[in-house]
Amino acid sequence: MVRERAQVTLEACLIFVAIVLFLFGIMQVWLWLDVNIADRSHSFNLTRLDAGNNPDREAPILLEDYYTARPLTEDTVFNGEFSPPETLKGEYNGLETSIRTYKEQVADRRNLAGQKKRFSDYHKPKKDNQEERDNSEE
Amino acid sequence: MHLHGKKAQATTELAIFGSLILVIFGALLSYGQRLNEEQAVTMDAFRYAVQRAGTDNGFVDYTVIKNKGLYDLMGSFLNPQSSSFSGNASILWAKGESDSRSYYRVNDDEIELQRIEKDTDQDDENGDAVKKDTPVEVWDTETQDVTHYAENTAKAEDGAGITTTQSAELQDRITLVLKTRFNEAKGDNESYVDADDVVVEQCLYRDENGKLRYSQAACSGAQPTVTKSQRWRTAW
Repeated sequence: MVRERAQVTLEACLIFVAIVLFLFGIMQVWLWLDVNIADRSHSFNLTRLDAGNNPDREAPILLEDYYTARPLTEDTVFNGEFSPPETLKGEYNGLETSIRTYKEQVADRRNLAGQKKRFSDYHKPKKDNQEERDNSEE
Repeated sequence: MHLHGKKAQATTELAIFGSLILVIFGALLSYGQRLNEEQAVTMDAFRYAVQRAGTDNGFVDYTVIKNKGLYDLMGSFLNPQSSSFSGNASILWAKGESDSRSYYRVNDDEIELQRIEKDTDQDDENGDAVKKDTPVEVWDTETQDVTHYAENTAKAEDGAGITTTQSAELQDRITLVLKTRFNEAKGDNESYVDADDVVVEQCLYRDENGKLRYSQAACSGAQPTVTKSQRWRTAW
């Protein structure tokens, strides 16, 4: 029998990759759950006044009236992309009832700027102000 | 470390500890799902209480109990991890004389708890104690869950591959007993007497949106059976 050196190490490396991938998948599902909690809180606060001023009182304003969880898709688990809420329930009296995730906010800012920028680029004005102050001191 | 002759040691170790890792990940996911459901139920309880306080003009104690199956990594097909969530809200919202009521919403059904006339600390013009209807309080709950589950897997092999069909049937009946009592004593004193138990029997059914729910109405007549099936083909 040929001696197989470091076989355990090699196998551990292969399996480690699988475990890490699995762990990242679980983390994405956790993030999805996290976004749902934030979305739901946001929607709940937006409909707070209407819940109290509801003149008919035939039925309470419930979560299912204005909130739908974002679907958990393959894209969410493997790429970290969150789908927008499934239905128009995502909008209540013209207000967005789902929050924007960090990635979405960054994408929004890029779209507004009309070009691809890194998130750190948006801190540049502070630096400019500092330079202006330095200049004025001189 | 002497490794000679120990083939596939890491794989063997993973087979042993892998199940442990799956259990830990499964527990993490269950915890996340629980957080979500508890938040939703608490919010719903508040909204129901707001609505009831508005219509009843008074103090409302509202409890929501919801049974829901959580996704379970270790569970079988269509047989989720049965879990119960509850949320409570108490709201006083009244103009003038306020009323006191207590509600339980168990899945689809709303139950108002019995009210018993009770002497208050206030006296009327004749010197008699003013009486007021006061709801009983729930001091204990008992739950019984009867589940019938059947799973069937069929494999059909032909020259091009294997077609696997998996199907499952589930029947679930939950009986919730709310043990109630009533405090006869005035003020902060305590003198409890047992009141009638509230028994809620509900069956699992699939609503028009495809969601699994429980209701008392579903138990009338033949108990509904929820089914689920999937089919896939492995070609070679």
